[in-house]
Amino acid sequence: MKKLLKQAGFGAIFFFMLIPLFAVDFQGILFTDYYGDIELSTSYNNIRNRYYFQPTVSGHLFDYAVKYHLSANLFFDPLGNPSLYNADNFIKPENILKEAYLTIPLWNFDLSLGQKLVSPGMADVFSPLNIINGEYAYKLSLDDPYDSKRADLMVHLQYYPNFDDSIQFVYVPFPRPDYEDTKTVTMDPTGIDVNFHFGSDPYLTDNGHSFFISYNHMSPGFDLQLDYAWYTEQTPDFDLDQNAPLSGSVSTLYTKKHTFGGAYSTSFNGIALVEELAVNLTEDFAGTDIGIKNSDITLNSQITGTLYGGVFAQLNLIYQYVINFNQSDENFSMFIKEFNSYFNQPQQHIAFAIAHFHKSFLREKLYLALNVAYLHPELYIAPRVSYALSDKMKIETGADIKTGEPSEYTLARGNLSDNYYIRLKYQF
Amino acid sequence: MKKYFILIQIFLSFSLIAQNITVEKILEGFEHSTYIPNLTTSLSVKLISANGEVREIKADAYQKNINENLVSRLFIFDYPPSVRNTGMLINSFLDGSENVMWIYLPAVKRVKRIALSTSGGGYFMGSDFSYSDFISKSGDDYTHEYLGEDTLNGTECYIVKEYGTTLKKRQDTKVSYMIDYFRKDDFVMYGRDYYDLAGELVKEYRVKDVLVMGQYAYPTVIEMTNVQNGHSSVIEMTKASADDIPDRYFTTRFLQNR
Repeated sequence: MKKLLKQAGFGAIFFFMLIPLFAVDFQGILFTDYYGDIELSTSYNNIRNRYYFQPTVSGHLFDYAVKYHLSANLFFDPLGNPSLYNADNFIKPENILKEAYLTIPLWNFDLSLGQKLVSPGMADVFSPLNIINGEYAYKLSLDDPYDSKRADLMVHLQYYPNFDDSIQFVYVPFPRPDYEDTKTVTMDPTGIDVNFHFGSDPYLTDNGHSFFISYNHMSPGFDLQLDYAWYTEQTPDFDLDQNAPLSGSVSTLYTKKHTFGGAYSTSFNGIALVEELAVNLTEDFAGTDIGIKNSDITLNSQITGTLYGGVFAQLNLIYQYVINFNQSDENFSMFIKEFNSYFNQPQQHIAFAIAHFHKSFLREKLYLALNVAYLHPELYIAPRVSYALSDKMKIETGADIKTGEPSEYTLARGNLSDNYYIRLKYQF
Repeated sequence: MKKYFILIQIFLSFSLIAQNITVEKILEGFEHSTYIPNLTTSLSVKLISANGEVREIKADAYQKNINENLVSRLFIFDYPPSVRNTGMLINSFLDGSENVMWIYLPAVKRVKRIALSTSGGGYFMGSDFSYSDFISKSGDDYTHEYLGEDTLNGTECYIVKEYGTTLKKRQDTKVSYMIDYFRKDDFVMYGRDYYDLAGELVKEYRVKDVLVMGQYAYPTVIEMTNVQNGHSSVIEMTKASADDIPDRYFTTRFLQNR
């Protein structure tokens, strides 16, 4: 499988080298960026230095009967930080192909086949219904679009009975798990070594087959979405022997999950409102297996408007209730916090807020933004500045700063240290 | 004395003839002239700074009167590259109902409902045109007063003062009133002066070219100049057509899967 992907990756590189010679609709993003570690509790570190190229070619075939889309991610990182995803300096072959799909409009159907990103839900951040595609587990910046979702190979059918309504069906035969390059993590909280082996399969061929269905209504008064999914959760669980003290090697496994939910959006008096609710039922509804994520109910309320001075403002309030929290065997109590942290379920009731503000100056050449998240007792502060040197070239800088210390948990992942970045981007 | 009396009578009768033109007739003529049921065009907006630096936005624009109360507009952006394939669908209601706007963001593959004033509070893509310059206004929201006749750049025009009926409307648009210049021969709005909340002239809208399509006359080159900061924007419409546009263009399906 990996050899095949490697060949496909190099094939994609060759293809994109040829595309400018033939294709009319050829777009691309080229950038270089640098991330530095500014965590006060540690010494300064170089984190990442990407030389990135994201080409995209799209168009229509057979007199608009078929639409095609092909895009790729290519990067080289001379720093190659092994604690992140780019230990080998170059992007992994399985991550080169970003999207590759055909869309065929058929009367009041749209049928898409291929590797594609699909984003259900309505909330812009932490959308509990945006579950079709897995994501990069390690993010230095939560809003980095180059570290976000990974497209899945799918059949995507949209049916439009009229102009306002649609029904969407997605079948993913081999889901792609969240991407984390860390193969083995050794945990030693109590003098007992436990090695966690993280799977590295690019596509899940065991226990695959994910199904997603949603109904969408978009009309002047309101937008509504109702969702149901039975799918393989992209974040791994852990295959634990419940009858023995935890020791030795533990492997990851990918389990099934049901998600029921809906989203509602409306606008009035210059305000846009989104309410999104999801009920997630995992294979361990009783909450007795600490290696499997608990079921939960998640509500995301989003309000968007304009403040004094034309400042765009958005506030998301997220609440999650973890069902049957901490019902597991006392033998594993020492590991419970580790697993709960990994699953982002540290407490039975979780509430946090994320605010986003931005304003453009100099006729949108200068863009200032601030993202602030509050999860008691810590704050995450992410200022952003970008300046358009021309229509095609932009310089961007920002920082990701959290109050408090980096996570003490061995299995913790994601953005662990404060950092800053600077990026020079050319887009055509 | 009798001679003077006759002269006064003649003067009064001319004045009465002139008074026969009313705001209602001007606005009706404007609507009749420019209210094209279907309009397809390619749009170029040049943003010209006070020091002469030029940036450009390109988009395809579609406009259709879906019914007596609803005008739908669709913009598909093509340039600059950062907004390429971004789509914007705006439904404007002539009965005064709040406008509805959806935006398609290709980077996240999602159609998102946004509040128009969230964007309309500012300017259209950094230009001197605000979103409210592109959308239909409800008659109840604005009051019009006929001020007489004048010439603008050598063209004879009817002059109409227009202002938001409520204080909130004026504050929302940041405009206390506008002076509109309607060309006498075809009622095309040939110019408009915007006055800010302090009563100072802030922007000048000038039509540079008009395309005649049958009974309709549509401005195809428009310049908007901010006289307070020297910035200006020029909209140029090419490939304009009044051919029928299918209703399916003005749907969220078309927005994301065109």
